[in-house]
Amino acid sequence: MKLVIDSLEFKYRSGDTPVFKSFSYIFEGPQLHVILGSNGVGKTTLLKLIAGVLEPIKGSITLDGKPLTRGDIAYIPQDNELLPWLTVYMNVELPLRIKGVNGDERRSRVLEALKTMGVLGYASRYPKSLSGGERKRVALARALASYSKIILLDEPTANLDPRSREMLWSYLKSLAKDKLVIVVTHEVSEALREGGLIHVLAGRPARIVDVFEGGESAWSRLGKVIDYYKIYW
Amino acid sequence: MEQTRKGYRLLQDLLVVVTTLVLLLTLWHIVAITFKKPYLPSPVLVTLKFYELLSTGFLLENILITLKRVVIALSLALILGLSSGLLASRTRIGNGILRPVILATYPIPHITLIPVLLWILGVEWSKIAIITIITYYPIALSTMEWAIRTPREYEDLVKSMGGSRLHLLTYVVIPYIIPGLLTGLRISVSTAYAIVFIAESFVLTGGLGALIEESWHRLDYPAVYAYVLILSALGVISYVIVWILEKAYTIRLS
Repeated sequence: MKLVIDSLEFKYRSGDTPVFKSFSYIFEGPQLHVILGSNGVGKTTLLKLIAGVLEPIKGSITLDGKPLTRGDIAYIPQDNELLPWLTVYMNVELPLRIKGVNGDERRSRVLEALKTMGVLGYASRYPKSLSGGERKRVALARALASYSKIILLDEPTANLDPRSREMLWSYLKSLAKDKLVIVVTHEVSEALREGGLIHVLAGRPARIVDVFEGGESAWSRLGKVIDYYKIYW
Repeated sequence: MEQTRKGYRLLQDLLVVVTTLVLLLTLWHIVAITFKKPYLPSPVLVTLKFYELLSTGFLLENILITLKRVVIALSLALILGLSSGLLASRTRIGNGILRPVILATYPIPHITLIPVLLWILGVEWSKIAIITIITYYPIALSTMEWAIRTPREYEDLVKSMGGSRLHLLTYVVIPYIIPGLLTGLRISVSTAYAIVFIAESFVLTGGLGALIEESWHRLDYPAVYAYVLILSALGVISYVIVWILEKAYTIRLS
């Protein structure tokens, strides 16, 4: 699975320095990718461009040579990752409904995904009654139930307690066994510890300035990554 | 624990309402028997009149006539207000044409349209039309304002799933605006009962408004009071029903 970003250009207002200009990059999967970068560098913008929520000025994003169709992707924003007026069950079911998947299959996929993420017991509850960690797991269940090959997460561990963070990362790693998972975060130590393939995004227009494997061996890079934050911003 | 506390609070609120009502009735009674004016009958007299009217069956018939007019008018206002409010806020053409029209026609004193409506629509439908027109605005305006404010993140989420405009409408916009819509409806419901009186007292073809007008001319003051109280009670009950719906919906989300 190859997600190819080709000569992407994007800016929010005309006259601004573009957030991305001639940005080309390839994410291969199945794999866990972590995009590190300081606040405001363009991490969320990149996710939204891939998710099709924002339209680029120029450039293309393709999956295995074909243009992305929106259903290919499960996008989990930082906040408001679930629709508050739908129950947990209906939230997980939503992408399948939009895709027009038939009733029986829909039901079995939703239940299976809720079970895998350990949130089956919350099926009939509303998102507001769940903790931040539980909501993220429901959003992951939604990604899992949908047929999407790519999962995009924006700062998924923000506002979570250490235990929920650990749990979330382990779920992400297991999802990355057969999906292309891209996580965006500004938390350097967490990213280095949890691993995956780490891409450092910096500068304006933004570009990837470093790529390395996370995990124990990555700690030696800490100083360098912090320098990227300073130099390019 | 939480449940019992809530129940206790509800009981307290109820007690306050009942006490206030009893106090008001007592005050009314005292004022009535002190001044002894025909246009201010005591609540006892009004109650007796109410039973007298109730026993004829003709009261119920007229209540139903009024209710029918109000329900038809409010349903039309809801359908028109919701659909035009959505069009005015969610489509470019609607935003360019419909929105200014709604905003510009809102401050017109619509009640003055009754004679015109009477010519165009005839007796019965002119009554319904005037209630529809006046109750349309709170619904259309609140729909418009809420639909414009629909959070982008929720729309983005459904868009990223490949959702169409119809999906956005059914899964994001409409669920988001329901509290605002119900607030608009609540205002419309209480207005409707005020307008139905004017509409029904214009050309007398039944309904509580016509009965009030008629009794007034016959100087049957206890009857006037009885009808006014019934009309008010209908207004209060409808208001409370919408208010409960509103609460029930928002409680789930918070």
